[in-house]
Amino acid sequence: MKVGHVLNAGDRALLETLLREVGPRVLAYVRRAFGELVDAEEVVAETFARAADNVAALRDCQRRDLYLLTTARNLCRDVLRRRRPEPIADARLSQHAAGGSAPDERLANDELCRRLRAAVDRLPVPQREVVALRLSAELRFDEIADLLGIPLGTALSRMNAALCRLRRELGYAHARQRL
Amino acid sequence: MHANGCDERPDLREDELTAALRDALRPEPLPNALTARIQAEFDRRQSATRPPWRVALRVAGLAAAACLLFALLLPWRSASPVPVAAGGRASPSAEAAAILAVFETLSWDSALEQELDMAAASVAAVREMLAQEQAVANPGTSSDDWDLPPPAEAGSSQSRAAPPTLGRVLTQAATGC
Repeated sequence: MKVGHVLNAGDRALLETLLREVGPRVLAYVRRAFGELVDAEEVVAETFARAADNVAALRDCQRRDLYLLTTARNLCRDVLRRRRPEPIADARLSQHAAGGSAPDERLANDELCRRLRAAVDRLPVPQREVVALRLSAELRFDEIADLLGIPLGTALSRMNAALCRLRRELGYAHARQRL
Repeated sequence: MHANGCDERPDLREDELTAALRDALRPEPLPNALTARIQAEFDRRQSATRPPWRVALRVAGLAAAACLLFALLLPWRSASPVPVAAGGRASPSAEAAAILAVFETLSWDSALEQELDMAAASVAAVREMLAQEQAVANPGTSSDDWDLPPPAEAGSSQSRAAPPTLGRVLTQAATGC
C-alpha cells in the first residue's frame, strides 16, 4: 500500500480548506468538460492525493485553484490518452445528466436546465473545456488561456462558438421559457 | 450572421443564455462519500507521521549503540595496527608509538636477559681473575716449552728452578733423572 507524503497538521488544514473551497469547482469542471469520458469523482480524489504528495509546492503556490484544476485536467488527459474515448453509458452518467446530488435533484424538473446540460455535453471537448472553466470553475479568460496553454483570443473564440451553438440549439425554447 | 456561422437571435440575449448556463453549470457541493474518501486519505497520511517520542527513542537507541561500540573497541585501541601514511611509510609518531608498544610488550623478559647478561659477565670476570692468579702462581702454561730444559742460569739461580709441572714430572719419571 502506498504511504505517500506524510502530512503535518498545517498541511492537513490547508488541504481541508482547498477541499471545501476548490473541490466543488474541480468536480464541476471535470464533470462538465470530461463527464462522459472519465470518472469525475475518481479524478477529484486522485487530484487531492497528488496535492497531498506535493503539498510543499502547493503551499508556495499563489493560485492553488489553478494548480488543482491543472492537475485534474492532466489526470483527465492521461485517462483519455490511455484508452480510446468511449462514452460512459452507465447509470452514473444518466444520474449525472439528470442531476444526482441534492441541488441537481432540485433542478431536475427544470426542463431548461436539463436541456442546457445535455447541450453542453454535446459540445466538442475544446469548447466544453472553456465553458466549464468559465462557468463551473469560475476562471477568467486569461486564466483559462494560461491553463489550457492557448492564446487568449483562442479561448474567447471557443467560448463564443460554444455560446452560438448552444443558442442555436436552445434559443427558442429558452426564449419561450423565459417569456 | 457571424463569422462563425452563428445567427443572431434577438429573442435570446447573450447575457440571458450565459446566466442560464451559469445556473446550470454552477459548482455543486462535493458528495459526502467523495469528501469522506478524500479525508480518509488525508487521515491515513497524517497518521503516518512519526510521533516525537518515537524520534527521541530512536536517537537514544543510536546513542546507546554508539557508546556500547566505543566501550567494546576501547581495549583494542592500544593494540590497533600501526597506521601507515599514504606513502606507505608509517608516520614518525605512529612508529614511535609502535616501538613503545613493542617494548612494553617484551619488557617482561628484557630484565631477565639483562640479569643473565650481568651474571655471565660476572662469571667471565671471575674466571679471568682466577686465570690471572693461577698464572701468577704457576707461570708454566700449555704454551711453554715444557719438554725443554729450563735455560741455564748461573750460580744461585739454579736453586730457584721453576716448579715442576705435570709434563716435566712425567718426563723426569720416564727418563729416570
